[in-house]
Amino acid sequence: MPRVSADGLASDFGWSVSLTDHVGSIALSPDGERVAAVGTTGPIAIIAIADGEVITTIDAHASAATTIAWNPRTGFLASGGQDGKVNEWSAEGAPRWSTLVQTAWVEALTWDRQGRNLAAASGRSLAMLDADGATRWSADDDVSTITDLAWHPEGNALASIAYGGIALREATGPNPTRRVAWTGSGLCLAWSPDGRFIAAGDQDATVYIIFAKTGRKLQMWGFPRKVRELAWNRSGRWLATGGGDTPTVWDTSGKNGPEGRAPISLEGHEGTVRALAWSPTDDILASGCDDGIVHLWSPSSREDPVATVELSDAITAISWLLNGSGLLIGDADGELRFLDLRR
Amino acid sequence: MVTNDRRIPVTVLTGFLGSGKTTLLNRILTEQHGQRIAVIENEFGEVGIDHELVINADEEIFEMNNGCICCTVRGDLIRILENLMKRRERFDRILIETTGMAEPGPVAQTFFVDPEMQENMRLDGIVTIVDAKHVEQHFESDEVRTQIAFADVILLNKVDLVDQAAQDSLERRIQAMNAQAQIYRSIAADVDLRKVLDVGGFDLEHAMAIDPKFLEPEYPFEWGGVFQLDSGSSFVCAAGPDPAMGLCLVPVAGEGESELADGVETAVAYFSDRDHPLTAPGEEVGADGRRYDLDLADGGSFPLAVTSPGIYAIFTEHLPEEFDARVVRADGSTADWTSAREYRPDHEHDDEVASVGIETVGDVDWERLQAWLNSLLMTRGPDLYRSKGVIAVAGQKRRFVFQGVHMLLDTSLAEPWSDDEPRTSRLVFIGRDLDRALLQQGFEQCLV
Repeated sequence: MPRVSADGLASDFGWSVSLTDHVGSIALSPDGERVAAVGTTGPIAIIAIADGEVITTIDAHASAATTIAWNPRTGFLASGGQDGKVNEWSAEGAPRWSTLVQTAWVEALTWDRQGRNLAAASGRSLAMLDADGATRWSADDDVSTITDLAWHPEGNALASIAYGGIALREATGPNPTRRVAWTGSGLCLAWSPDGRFIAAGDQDATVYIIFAKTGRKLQMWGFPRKVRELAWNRSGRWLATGGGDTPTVWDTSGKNGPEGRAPISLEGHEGTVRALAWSPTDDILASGCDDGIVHLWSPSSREDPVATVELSDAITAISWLLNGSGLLIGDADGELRFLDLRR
Repeated sequence: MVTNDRRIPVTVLTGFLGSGKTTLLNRILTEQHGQRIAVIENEFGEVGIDHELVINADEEIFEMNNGCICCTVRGDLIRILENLMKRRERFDRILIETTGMAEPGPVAQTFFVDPEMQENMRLDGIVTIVDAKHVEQHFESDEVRTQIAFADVILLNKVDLVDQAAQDSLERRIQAMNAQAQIYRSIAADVDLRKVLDVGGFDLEHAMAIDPKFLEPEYPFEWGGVFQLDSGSSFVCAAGPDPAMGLCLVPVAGEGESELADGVETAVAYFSDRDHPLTAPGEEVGADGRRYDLDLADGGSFPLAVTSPGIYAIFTEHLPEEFDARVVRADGSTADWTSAREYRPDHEHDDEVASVGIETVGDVDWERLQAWLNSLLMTRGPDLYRSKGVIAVAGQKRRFVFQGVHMLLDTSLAEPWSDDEPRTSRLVFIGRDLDRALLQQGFEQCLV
């Protein structure tokens, strides 16, 4: 099994950039050439993948930026902040527009596939903005803070999650078309690439898989911790979930999805898994742990990791390059590393 | 406190609007203590000082399923605290200010149910600020009583606005609700900050320091005093807070404290007299084994019918100063007591929130203890605000300690019992409508 240690990483395997603190989220530009990263308190950095050059650093929000999303059509970068604003920037960091959603932290921000609609959640409010930042509509009727948003892969429906479950809406209006309710505080959402399922992670250490067409839901429990890590593979067959030290992979193929099927447990981490990401080109799963270890797995063929990267600080975010040739890894100390897997 | 615990301590400040919460907060933030403090406040804009980090929280309470136990937590706090933990600059302390009407339960429970909260932070204490001047008006509200019941530290603030007797009576009333809290009196929330920070209220080790004072027995009277009485003496009082007051007269053998103590048992027997018609002013009170209920609607004078001059103890249901009471001799002069003391009364103003302390020597059966605690928490959890205990378990060299909030319990094994000390179990429950006898009985059934 190949092992890579942190010492050799910078010189042999790519580059490393120091951000201000804990790398919260990282997002690849639509052309795959840049990565935007945001720290817990710091500005947003836009970095060239090719050489790790910091193209620009944006002081995006009066208080911290919380979340970022590239417009897949225009290549501009939207950011949400603790100031309740959504701002947009060019890929070079020039300001484009700024819209106040609510006074609460913007917890989630996501463009539809066509780059026409930007959904933003701030506190209990959900706003739908157009590509110029104008508010198409907003909904203030959620009982609790919306913690995550996910578009249907075709971009015609939006799911939001809060305490009490999920609300589904058309892109066109604020009235929910369906609610899928449960007692529990939802933390994260992921819509499968084939559109069939919505996965939700919950504070109560459970995962729900919802059949998008019917609203039927399956509950998975037994996780040691709250579940904030969800990742669908490229086809939508495999769902990886975190919620502890053992990434779990669920086979959702077939009429009944994962129902009645034992998941694959990926044992090997010795801390809490904080990031999960599937390769866009292969069924390889990367899992990052708070002990600084990243494992790569091929869950359908092997029980043990196919490769391991040892870093020193807790892993907080992982993203694959579009061609699957490398990994971007963020950690709690503010390091963003590029790991070139072809070398 | 000496501790290797590197988790960030969290202090929760509760209290009604106007009680002095913000004053205390400002004091904590401005005093030179060298600590970096993050403040999470609910009432936006109240902290008007230039401070590193003040985060406004929008109180969001939700129910959480924690194993088989349901409890409510503060979802907004989880998000904010998670964010704080990610910052490079670490804070030495976190202060959470709750709204005036908030029940501290969900805040406390947040630290029990989320492993990440537990790993990075420790709830140090709940500090409740009480407005000494206005709290009487608020005692009827569930919120005030709950805030008092939850507290590790109670600041009786604005004491300059009430007289000494009112302060004392307020403190006794608060103590009856929450016997394990430290109570301090303050003006303009001016208090040694070491008394409100680093309280260790949720430390299991600290659970062992159960204050023995409220393990004292309770009495049907609140005061007793020894007097040299001649014939013709009277008990004179003004109209007081209650329309009537129980009293009994007990002959004692001397003027000292020990003789007063000797009279207590007799007085308890006298007070158990159920047939005690109202005694009107002018009617005699005798040393005859009866309890007299003085009609104090308008106050008055009650002749003390002593057959022979001598030393007597007078036990009263309430404090004499509440009724301006005194003993007047035949010549009109006031007789002073030679010794007197206050007792922990069992009636204490009929507040439904109260503390129950249990102290028992002897080992407890582990299985029975678990069964009893589980069933107690399941059935009475909503009414139990805080519970703590140090227990001698049969066959266990170390002390078993627990502490809890509502249904949630944190347990551990602490220091071993030494060979030369009695294995004495102590438990404290603070809650609503607690049945002392039932709790005592329940625990005693666990004894080996």
